[in-house]
Amino acid sequence: MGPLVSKEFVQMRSQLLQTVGFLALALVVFSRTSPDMVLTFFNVFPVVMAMTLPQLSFMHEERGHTFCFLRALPMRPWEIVAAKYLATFVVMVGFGILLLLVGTLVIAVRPTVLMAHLTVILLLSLLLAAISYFFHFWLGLKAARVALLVLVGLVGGAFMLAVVPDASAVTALLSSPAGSS
Amino acid sequence: MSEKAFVLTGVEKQLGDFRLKIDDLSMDRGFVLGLVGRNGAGKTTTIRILLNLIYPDRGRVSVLGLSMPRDESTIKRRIGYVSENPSFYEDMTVAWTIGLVSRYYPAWDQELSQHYLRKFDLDPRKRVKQLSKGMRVKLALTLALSHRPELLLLDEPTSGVDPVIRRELLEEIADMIKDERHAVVFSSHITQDVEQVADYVAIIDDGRVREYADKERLLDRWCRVTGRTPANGRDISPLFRSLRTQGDSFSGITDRYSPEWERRLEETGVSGHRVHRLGLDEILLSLSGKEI
Repeated sequence: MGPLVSKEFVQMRSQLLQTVGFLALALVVFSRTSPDMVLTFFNVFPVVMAMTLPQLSFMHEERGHTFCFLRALPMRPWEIVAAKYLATFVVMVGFGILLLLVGTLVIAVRPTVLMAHLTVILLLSLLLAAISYFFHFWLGLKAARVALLVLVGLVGGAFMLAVVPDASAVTALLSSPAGSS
Repeated sequence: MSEKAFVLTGVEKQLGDFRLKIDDLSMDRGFVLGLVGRNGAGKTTTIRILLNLIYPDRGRVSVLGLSMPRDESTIKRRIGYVSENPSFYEDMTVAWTIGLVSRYYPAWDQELSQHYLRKFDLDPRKRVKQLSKGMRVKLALTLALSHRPELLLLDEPTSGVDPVIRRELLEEIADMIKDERHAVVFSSHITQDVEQVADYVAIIDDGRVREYADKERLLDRWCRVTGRTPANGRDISPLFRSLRTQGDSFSGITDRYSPEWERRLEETGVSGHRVHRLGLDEILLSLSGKEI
């Protein structure tokens, strides 16, 4: 499976460089003035990666018509999926470590707090990536995008309602007629 | 090695408006089967069904005596495949591509692969995106041949490549079946290529196998006959697939030519008739209902 995983890294390289660039920019701009912004970026970035890496991977395969090349080889379909997921897993864990280092060394967040926080975010992101790969293989590129948007919208909405301290107030505000408050 | 190279029985596949329906198509080892047909006739679908790249809606597929899809991996290890537009990872090198593919074939012969690289003048350090269409076909052929496949499936490999590469490719096919364990299925709409290398020909049109026979017998059976119509006014049209008359002259196509058939034609009273063998392209046109 090694060559298939290495091929995934080659395909992702521009996306990875772009993300590292954004991370560096966020650090330079916000680390002194507004460290909270950097932490927000830390929270959002793994979720975005979990959504975009499977899409990019499938886009590369579809544009290059390389699924046919792989499927003609005596490999099982799960090997193709496993290689893609393994590459995503390595990238996410790698960035997790990078974020941990940056968070503790540059922004001076307590390592244990940051590690616990990042672990939860990474686990959720890896779950999202697994669902995303499943959708892509099952539904194809376009339908998977829609399904993921719906899924993220539903989960995100439910999450917001669950964690926002005064969710009932928000709900009331949203449901009240304009100007009546 | 008595088993067939492949057997398709009652295979059907619906793809949009197109429907492939093959009642029975099989092939012995030691031969080259040419699949001939217009673009969109069903040649690629047939080959992809043999590889399980397309799942048939119904029917049975057996390759090298094994059942597809049950023995898919085992079958694929013994098959070589070259698609019409070979697609590889553009950013990767020729050497990487060979390295990837070789891992999946226990019978991969590194020396043979090196031999093909030299023969086809392929630089292993080059990236795939730097290769021309002809060089990609050569790389695909290197990948397909280096594990000494028992069945080689070639889907329009000569389309869009220059005459030199075409000749090299046809020579490779001819070399391969010197060993009677091997078999080649070769699809093309370039009928000259099929005439050059095939032992058997299957003509596919509109998703159906219209003709399947030994190439020489097929070419012997299909003739254009010209001459003068019988003075006694007898109807000769039942002897032909298609017949045109102009004044007292006729020109007809038959797919049943034999000395016996010619004797029956003479008995009708035709005179001055001449028999011309048809080429595969003319047979294809005639089967497609086109006037030739």
